[in-house]
Amino acid sequence: MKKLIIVVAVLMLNGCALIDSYFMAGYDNQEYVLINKIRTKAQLSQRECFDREKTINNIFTLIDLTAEFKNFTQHIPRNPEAYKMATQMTELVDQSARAYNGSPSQFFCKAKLQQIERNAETIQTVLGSKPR
Amino acid sequence: MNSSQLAAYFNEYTQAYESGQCTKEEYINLLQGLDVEQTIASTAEELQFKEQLNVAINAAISIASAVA
Repeated sequence: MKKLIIVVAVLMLNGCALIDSYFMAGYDNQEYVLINKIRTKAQLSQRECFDREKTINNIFTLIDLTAEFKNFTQHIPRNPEAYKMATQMTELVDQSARAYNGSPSQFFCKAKLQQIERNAETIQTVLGSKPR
Repeated sequence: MNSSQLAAYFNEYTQAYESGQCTKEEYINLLQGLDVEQTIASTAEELQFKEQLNVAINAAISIASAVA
């Protein structure tokens, strides 16, 4: 059924969409490694939510990693979705950082890091499925 | 992220706010995060569709090449 939907979609699409899909950016190991680092950092940082100083350091690391991920995806040809998702990830981490101007609760710390982890996993899943 | 998952997270954050586990600012921050999450999910779906289309095109090319 899924294949049938795709075949029907192929027949209905215009030439530009077909060309766009055919020439889309392929799997990039470095791109995959970067999003995996973000996901893993967010995952492991949840254990340190009781310690404000450690959490701030973890957020700084996430800021660096998401900036690197965003910059890396930006100029890869035919890669607009990855860049858009990377930009959104930096927004998510920035939201987290803004809260640490004060003294956030442990609930917030864990919930925000879970958001970052979930989204990184969503991105990782689609980046890993890019054509090889 | 589907709407039921979104509703589950929304309820979790609302309950935490109402029970005093997080402040109003933190609650708003978490809801803003859900908004970003929706954008990421829809962009991921677009990319996934392209990937499936790419597979279908390559399969069609392979079949056409084999027949020719």
